[in-house]
Amino acid sequence: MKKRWPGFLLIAVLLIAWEAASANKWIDQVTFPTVSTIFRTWYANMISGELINQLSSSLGRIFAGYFLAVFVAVSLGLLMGTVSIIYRMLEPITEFIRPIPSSAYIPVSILILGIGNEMKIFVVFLACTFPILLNTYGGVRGIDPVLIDTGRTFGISRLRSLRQIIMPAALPSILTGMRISLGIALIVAVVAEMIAGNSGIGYFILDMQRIFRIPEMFAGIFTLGLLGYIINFCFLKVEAHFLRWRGTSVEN
Amino acid sequence: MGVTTEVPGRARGFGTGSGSIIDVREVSKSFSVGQNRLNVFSGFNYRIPEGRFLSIVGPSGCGKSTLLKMIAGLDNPTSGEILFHGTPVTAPPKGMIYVFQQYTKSILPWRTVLQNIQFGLGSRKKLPAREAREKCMEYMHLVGLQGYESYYPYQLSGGMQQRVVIARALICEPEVLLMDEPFSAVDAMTRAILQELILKIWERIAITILFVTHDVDEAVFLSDHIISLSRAPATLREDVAIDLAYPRDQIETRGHHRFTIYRQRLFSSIFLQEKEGLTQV
Repeated sequence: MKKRWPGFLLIAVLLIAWEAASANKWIDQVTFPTVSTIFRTWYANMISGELINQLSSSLGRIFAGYFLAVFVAVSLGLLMGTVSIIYRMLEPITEFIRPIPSSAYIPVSILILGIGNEMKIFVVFLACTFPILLNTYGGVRGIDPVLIDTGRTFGISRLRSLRQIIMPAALPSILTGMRISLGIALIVAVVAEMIAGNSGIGYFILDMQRIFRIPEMFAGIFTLGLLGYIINFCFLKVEAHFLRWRGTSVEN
Repeated sequence: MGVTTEVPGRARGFGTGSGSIIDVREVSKSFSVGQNRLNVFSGFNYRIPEGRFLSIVGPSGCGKSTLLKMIAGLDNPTSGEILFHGTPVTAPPKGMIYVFQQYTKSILPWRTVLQNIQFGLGSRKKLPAREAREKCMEYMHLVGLQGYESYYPYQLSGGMQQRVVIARALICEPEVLLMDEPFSAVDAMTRAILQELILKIWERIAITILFVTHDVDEAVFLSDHIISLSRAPATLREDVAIDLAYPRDQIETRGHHRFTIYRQRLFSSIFLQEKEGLTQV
């Protein structure tokens, strides 16, 4: 934490500059309300439960889609990584679908699933699947043959090899995919909420902008920033715990 | 040559029946190299009696490691068969453990020292937790790792990691230990210490060791028998019984006049072939 102070200092300086610029009307006060106004609004909306409600409906979708993607993509990735016929069958189609920006799935998903929760969860799920899938089968296929042969010489079963060699060996790679997808989940959920529906933090931000309650809009954006920071922080802690054997973790 | 040691092996015909634990029969192995096929072995025969410490030496690329891998069941011969206790080897058999040259790739980095050794216990899960732990401790003691049970591999030196790998192999009480240049990646002093360790273990427990090395000194120091292979397709160039008393000593044994004679005989045989190979290219 000690080494991070220059970063926090810069944030403080920028906020103060914003506050001064807005208070002295160097910039348009309607478009850029003072930081203190935004924080007061944020606090009021947190207390009233408005932001918490919006946030919890967003978080529900994000995590439902995300964990569904983790489960499906890790399972499929392990299968693709270990069974070469399945890899050769699925790899081209994966490479074809993967470059499509995930927001492009939204119109199709609305057609099929409507504008409710199912659509948003599905879009998050789809967007999160590919980074995890790619990193899982990439990780499995990148395992050194010596490690696999070590298992063989000890005569372990395929199932034990999967559990005790392949999965732990691919774990760093799987976690990388999971970290990438976590950021994507947040983005896609917010975009989907802005396009359709009437709840969630994405909806809240767009709605406030439309009815010209700019401090509320910024309060929503600030909430998203905070949320992203907290989620990432927690993820890094979990990752460092699971990869403590690598000796490269920040903890040392 | 002036070396008076007898050359046993097939000539003496040992292992005609119950004595041999491994029987390599008419084994051929070829790889495709681009358009060509490289015959590494072509009708190779050898019998290894139980309890032997056999080193396999030869010029680089002669197929020493391939032979070891085939015996371990990690690789299949193109034709011919390898018998272990009279049964053809088709998959890695129980009772044989292969120790890889690249110990850093063979150790399980996500497991502590104790957990790595426990991996070797494997399917003997019926062992109660306390007994399993005690057994692990016993083998950790044997290889000199006591006090390091909760360390992760990245916290250990190369020599220590190799000890973990050896303990993990020994704990499942194999009849045959197949070692592929196990000490080639550690520094000279560590190597000397590990050599003494492996000899101590071999003298203490009933085990057959097949040891592939490019280091003739190491082979002579460790083995009671050495075979030297020719360049591919590999044939038996030398089959030497090493008449040096056990327990061997890094300083005394290496200073023995017979040590020098064995060393010279084997070294010149390999060196001349290496040179031939270079002039041919």
